[in-house]
Amino acid sequence: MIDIKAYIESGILEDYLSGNVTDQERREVDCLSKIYPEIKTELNQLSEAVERYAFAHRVAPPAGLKDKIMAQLEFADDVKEVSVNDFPANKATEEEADETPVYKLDSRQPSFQWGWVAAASIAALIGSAVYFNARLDTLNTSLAQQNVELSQKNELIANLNNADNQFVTLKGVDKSPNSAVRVVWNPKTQEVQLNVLSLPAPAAGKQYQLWGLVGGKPVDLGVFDVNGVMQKMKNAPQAEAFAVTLEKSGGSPTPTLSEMYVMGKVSS
Amino acid sequence: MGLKLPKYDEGELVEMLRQQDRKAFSYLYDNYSDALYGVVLKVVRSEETAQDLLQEIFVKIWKNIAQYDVGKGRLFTWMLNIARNTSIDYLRVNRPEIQDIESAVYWVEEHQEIYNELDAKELREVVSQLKPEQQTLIEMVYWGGYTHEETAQRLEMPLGTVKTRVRSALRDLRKYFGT
Repeated sequence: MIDIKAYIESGILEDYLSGNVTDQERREVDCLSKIYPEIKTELNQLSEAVERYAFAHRVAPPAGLKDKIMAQLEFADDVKEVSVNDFPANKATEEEADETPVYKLDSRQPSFQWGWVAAASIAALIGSAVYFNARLDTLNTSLAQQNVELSQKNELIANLNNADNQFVTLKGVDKSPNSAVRVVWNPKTQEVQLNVLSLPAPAAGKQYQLWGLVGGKPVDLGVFDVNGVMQKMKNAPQAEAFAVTLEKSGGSPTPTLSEMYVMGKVSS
Repeated sequence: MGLKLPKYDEGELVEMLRQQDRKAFSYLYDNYSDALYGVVLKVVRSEETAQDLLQEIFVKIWKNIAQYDVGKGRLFTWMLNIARNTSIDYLRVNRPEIQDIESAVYWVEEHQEIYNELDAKELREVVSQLKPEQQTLIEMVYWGGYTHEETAQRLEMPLGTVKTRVRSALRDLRKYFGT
């Protein structure tokens, strides 16, 4: 439990709004404002003050700018106007009627059919092209997201395929029974990686620290943040078990055992 | 115009923007462009540049609306962040040696006489309760994206003093607005 009042009074929320915080502090504010309604309210009131200050200094941009901006954007209704589904069947019939005399002179009766089929196909093609262009942006964005996910999964598969890797699941102890952390340790290369499966958000000024147990003694393997990503920790030449404690930001030289969250033994 | 009674609540508006709704964008622009333009103008001090940047900002808002997290804060705060980052990016490239923000403040104030709309008056009266120094600090830091360090250097104040005063300026502002 953190001292909410002291946290609010520390000025961190003001710094958050002005962008004068580190990434870790930002995540901390994001997390804490989700957990504590008092912090959320405070943050909202402060942002409202900045907002009203901006509204007090409103300046109307020149007329015409709005249209200029809107011309650069794609709206759902532009796409709809030319979408394939919106081509009414009678449109093709009109085209057929228009073209009829031309083909009659040639006495190529059957080719009208082809004429309007072709016209409709081209119209449909243009419609699709416009429609798909509009979708391309969205697809590109989701592709980028999937690439990130894919590279994370590839990393995981590479870890799984490495026969030397040991997977140790650190399970929650009494203090936090639902917590879990996965450690991937390669005794050959000594590399240690870690993936947070579930841990409560650390309080202000605190950070989780990973420890390796060697001959019953804890060895510091570095601090880490609570995120979904595989994080590289310090190398461990040996380890019988791994554990995570909550320490002051930046870590401690020795673990605070009363603040242990998860622990797992290396299977031998 | 003025602080119109919102037709949509923020959640509704955001949902409509995500569906690329034309009316929603029009509403967003009508309600927020003046405030964002005022901010950008004060930071870059050129009407031409501010107009280009405002276009860029609205296009970014449109393209990135999916990333806005309603649970994380107010819509305007998120948009102000985009505006601030866009202005900073511009200034970093175009005028590395910027800039005397105090003169920026006066420059815009002169111009504001022309543009300013009547109903912003009330808000401005509230703002005028802040000391000029506090106004400068708010504009530099919350709008202009100056870091505490840059502000300290620019105003020749100790860093600790800047930090304390920037925070207390916002607290006072909040008090005056009664939010």
